[in-house]
Amino acid sequence: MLRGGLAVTAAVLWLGCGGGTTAPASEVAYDFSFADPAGDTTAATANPGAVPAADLLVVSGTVDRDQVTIHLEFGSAVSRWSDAAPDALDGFIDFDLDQNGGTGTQVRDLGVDAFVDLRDNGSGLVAFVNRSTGKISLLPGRWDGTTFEVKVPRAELFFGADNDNKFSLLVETGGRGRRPDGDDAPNTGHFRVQPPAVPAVP
Amino acid sequence: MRALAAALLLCALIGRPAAGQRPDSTRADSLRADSTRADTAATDYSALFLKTYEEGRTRVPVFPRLGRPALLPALSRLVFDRDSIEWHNAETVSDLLSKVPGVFVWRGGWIGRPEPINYQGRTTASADFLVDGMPLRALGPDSLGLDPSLLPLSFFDRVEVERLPGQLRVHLFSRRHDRLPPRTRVGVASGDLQIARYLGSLEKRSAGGFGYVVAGEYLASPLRTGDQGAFHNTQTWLQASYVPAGPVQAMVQLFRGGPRREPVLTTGADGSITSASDTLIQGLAGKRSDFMATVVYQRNRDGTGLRAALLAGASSWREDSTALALSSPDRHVRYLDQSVTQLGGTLSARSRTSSFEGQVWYRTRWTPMEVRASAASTPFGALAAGIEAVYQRHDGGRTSRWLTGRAGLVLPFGIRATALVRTGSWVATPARYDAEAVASTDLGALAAIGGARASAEVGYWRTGGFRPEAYATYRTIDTVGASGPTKWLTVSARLAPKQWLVLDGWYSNPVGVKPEGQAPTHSIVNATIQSKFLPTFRSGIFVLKLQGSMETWGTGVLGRDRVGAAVPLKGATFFRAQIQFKIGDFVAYYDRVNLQASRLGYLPDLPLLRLASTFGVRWEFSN
Repeated sequence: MLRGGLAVTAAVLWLGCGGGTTAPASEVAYDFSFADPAGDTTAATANPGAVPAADLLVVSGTVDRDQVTIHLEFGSAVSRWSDAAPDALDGFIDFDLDQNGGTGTQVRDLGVDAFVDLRDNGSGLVAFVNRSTGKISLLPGRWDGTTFEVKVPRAELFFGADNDNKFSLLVETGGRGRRPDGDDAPNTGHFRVQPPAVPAVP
Repeated sequence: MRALAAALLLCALIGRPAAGQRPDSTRADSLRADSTRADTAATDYSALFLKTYEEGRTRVPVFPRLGRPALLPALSRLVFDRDSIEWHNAETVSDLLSKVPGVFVWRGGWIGRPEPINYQGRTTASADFLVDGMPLRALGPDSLGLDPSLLPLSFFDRVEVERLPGQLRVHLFSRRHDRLPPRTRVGVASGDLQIARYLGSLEKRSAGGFGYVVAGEYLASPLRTGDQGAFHNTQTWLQASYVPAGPVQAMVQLFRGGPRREPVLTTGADGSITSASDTLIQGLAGKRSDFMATVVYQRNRDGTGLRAALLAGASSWREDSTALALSSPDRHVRYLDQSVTQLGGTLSARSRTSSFEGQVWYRTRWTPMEVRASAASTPFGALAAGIEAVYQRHDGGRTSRWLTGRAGLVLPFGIRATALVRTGSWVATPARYDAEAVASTDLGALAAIGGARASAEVGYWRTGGFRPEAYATYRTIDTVGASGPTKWLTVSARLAPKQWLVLDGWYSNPVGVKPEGQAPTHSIVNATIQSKFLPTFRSGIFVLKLQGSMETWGTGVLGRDRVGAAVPLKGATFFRAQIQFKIGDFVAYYDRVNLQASRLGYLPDLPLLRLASTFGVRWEFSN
């Protein structure tokens, strides 16, 4: 009886809170994109399988009320890590959600609060890891020719007090056994993803 | 408890009328009150005992043991049957494998801690395990190497270890009940830190050929408050078989285990865990299941003639807490939920002096195809020789192919000599996608002399260069350094100057450069007194065994930490004692390790519990 009551109470509270899976209605959807120079892959110091480095050309995406889409475009075809092929994609998409280099795992000038591990689980799912909560969520990735795409639910990205619709982004990609990573975007620092500035009302 | 006592008292009162309420003893129909009731009189326990005894003398056919080579030269195989397993002071399969010269167990402490084995520097590739002919794959947090301590030793009644240079092939055979009366086995053990082990099994066969097994084993090492690494594991085994007098036999069985081990972290000077604590032993929480189905066609019961078998297996590991977990500092996620399905077919022919076997396997991952072909012959009693060819195709277009050759001679005066060679190129850890095939030629030569009272064996081995994998469970040992070609010397001996006194042991040492991960100058020596007290117990039903063991090794290097610094292995010596007595099929034992209360361990920062003891009983009987 007590358990049933608690369950009902929890369900009512959850419904009342709306689940928190979407952004505030005031925040608008927006796209972002930044390019990475062609032919800027790093020279390998360790590459036992002579794996060619995938040249990352464009990082783009969309931030909307339900999810954040990250789209990577390469100079050559990429495949799943679990395919064990020479062009299998490796690496991370790093998110600094609070744009504070002092919190999270230090990567360059970012304090990485969450990341997508580009190695898939053998079924086309990649892991989204929230370093703060330790939660790991499996998300479907899409490898299509020279592109890779993943959609991260907003509930995974913006949580708690951090709900400002902004984050910093760094993409590190590599190949199987190849060290160091083949290509990063941007090459230095990070990219700041934020809504476009609202034009001043005359 | 009080409520139970009250209830029992109430039942007793209800069931027994008070004296004043008793009916007249001179009832008209006094027959109904006769204490010698008809059904009681019909139970003739003597007849029942004699019937069971006679049935127990009759053997019924059992399912054949698959997977092991039919003919092998002397010295190339070690066999532990049920009596040997019971008689050794082995708590786990790892313990049992430590009887093989050259095996160094990476013990994370005492019972309940990981016990992966290292044989001749091959770490996770040291051994292949097969259960009733079905290869057992490492799954879960460490998909490169299987921890033998997680295997339920009480479910097996025979373990055969093929010795090859740089590799062991361990055949585990589940219990075979060959009598009609049901066989029951129960065991209870306890010890320091409130450890508990319970085991029980019921095996039944019918005259029509049907049989079943239900068995369980529970081990818990709860530890004291504040200690780390508490462990418990419940393992079950269900088997159904059909072994009629005809040539077609079938067996299905399911092994399930649910190990749960808390992680072990480094502590500060005051023994506390801080945010800077490092993980010494990775935690473990999941369920492993192994389903096997086998159909065999075999006309001759003695193993000769043609035999064909179809095997199907499905193994899986399911993580309890989450489907995946964060791994090493490279930030990558390891996907721990794993499963593999295997389908195999074997065809073999065996005569008194020769054998042939072909195997084909399909697997859903890592090694999708495997083909094995072997032939062996013993043209005359003194000579035995055999060859095996293996081809494997792995994920990622990788392949392994190698030849194994064995030849042995049995000479007068108890002299035996055997040569072993394994040559080719193979992927040692197919589960690692970046592991490539490496060409190697491994050699071994064994010579032995003696018989039951005194025997000695010398082995000289040469293993090729190897890049071993570290054990994933030990997080502070990040890598184990590559080794070049290595020569190994192993010596074992057994001396029984009196029937009641046995001295035995082995010694192993790499000659020249010492590979990382393997203890140098490693030896285990046992002194055993066993007596049947025949003047008192003339039937021979009673056996007493007192055994003292010493294990020692020299200083070496276990591996490398995250920054590449050597992790030293301190030289250590441990003493162990066991007292065991046996009355028929009842066994009671007391086992104590680390008798000299050493603060050292097999691995740094993971000391062996001082003066740790276990005691227990096992009883096996026919119902």
